[in-house]
Amino acid sequence: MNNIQKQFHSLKRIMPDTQKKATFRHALESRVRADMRMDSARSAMAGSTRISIVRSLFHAPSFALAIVIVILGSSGGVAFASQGALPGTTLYGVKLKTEQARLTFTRNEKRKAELHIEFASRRMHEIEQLITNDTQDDAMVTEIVAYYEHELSEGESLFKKDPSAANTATALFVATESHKDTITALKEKIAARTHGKLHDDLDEAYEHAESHSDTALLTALATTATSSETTAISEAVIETSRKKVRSLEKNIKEKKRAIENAQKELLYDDPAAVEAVKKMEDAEMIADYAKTRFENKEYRESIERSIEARALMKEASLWNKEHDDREDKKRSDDDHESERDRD
Amino acid sequence: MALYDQYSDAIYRFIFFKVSNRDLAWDLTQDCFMKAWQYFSTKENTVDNKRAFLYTIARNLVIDHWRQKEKTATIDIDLVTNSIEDGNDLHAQTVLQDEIRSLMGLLHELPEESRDILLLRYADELSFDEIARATGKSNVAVRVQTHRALKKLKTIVHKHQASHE
Repeated sequence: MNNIQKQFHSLKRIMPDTQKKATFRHALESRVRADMRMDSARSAMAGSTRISIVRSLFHAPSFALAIVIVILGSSGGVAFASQGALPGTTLYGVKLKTEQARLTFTRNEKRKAELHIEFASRRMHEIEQLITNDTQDDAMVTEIVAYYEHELSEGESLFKKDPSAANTATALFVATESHKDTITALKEKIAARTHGKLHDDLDEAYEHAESHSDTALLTALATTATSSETTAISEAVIETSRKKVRSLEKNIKEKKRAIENAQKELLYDDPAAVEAVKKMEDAEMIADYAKTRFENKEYRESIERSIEARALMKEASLWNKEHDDREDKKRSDDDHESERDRD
Repeated sequence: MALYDQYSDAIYRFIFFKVSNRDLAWDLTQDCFMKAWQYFSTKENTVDNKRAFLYTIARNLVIDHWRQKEKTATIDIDLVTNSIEDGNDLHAQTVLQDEIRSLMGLLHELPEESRDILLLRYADELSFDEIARATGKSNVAVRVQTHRALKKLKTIVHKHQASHE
């Protein structure tokens, strides 16, 4: 038996690849630092916002703007207090107006893009808080998701104008990757809830985050200058490429099955269903190609093909969702009719 | 990062014995540490045994993986045996591979739960308490199961020794 126990110890010689271990360590460390930066930015906002608003307002040229300075300056205490405000509270409107003021009085496009990314993170934090606090107001979550997408789009459009946008693009990539994880955790949290609107909102928010994350990463790659930046971004590219391939493998199988089941229910008659199945098959083929590119270490190509496959999968899934909604409505109408007949 | 440095090898091994695929085991190991960070970053003070917590996450990731694949876990003994790092001493490496092959062959005859407990206890040297937290069982249940698994393993060893004589 001692021999067996000795053999158990020998299993410790089984270890992961050293290079992969080091690469992931670096990625994990970057992620930890990025998340901690965002957390301290959130708490520092309460202290610094008032000062930064007043400072930026002092450069406002016109008399009308001077009035704004007086108003915002005198209500600086309110602006300060509003930073942690959640949707539905009295101070939330002040919070949004404060953010708008910061954008209005920021001249630098790069800084504006960074502000939009910061505000997108705030919206994500608000969504998280609303769901954690068990909100029953789904419409509010839908609205905040729309604001979230707006901030991401604005940030992206600004850095796209800047040819040297690697830093901003990287900041957007890091932020959106963090948001995706937050959303995944929230979806697990509400998995037991039966009503679907929150699930739809979170799915939509995830799509926005993923889409902007992809664009940011590809932009960062295209605009990277120094080799050290290239190394850091390359590790992110490899990691993103791997995650996308794995995510596609998982999702395509599930969604294809759902569409085929829906098609069976329609007895194969619906041309839109046929089209959806075809799109899913194309998505599957492109996903396989993305996987092969990944295995050949052609990471950028793999990411681009993964993005393409995901877009096709999304189109096919849209048909399936519309089909499910129609079936739900039909069932609901049938139930109402049965009730009327009984009466 | 201290957690990663200290336990990434052990978590990788734990997952690898269950999925018998190096790349997949590494992917799931990365997922494990990412999930752990997400949890710790918001709720660090509520986890008193982080090591056991990592094993819990790893175990759940493997369960989710197999559920998705609609399969159950099996061990590929040859793959595990050939996974030890290459060294310069061919003889020592061959001896080691033989030892591992022999052990994995014996473990393969045990039910998965018993195999897991023995690996956690004797390969990764977790305490009974940590194994209990990682597997969601009570401390007593883990002790009983370890004792039974060892007894069963001894029986298998004697059976093999008898058949070679």
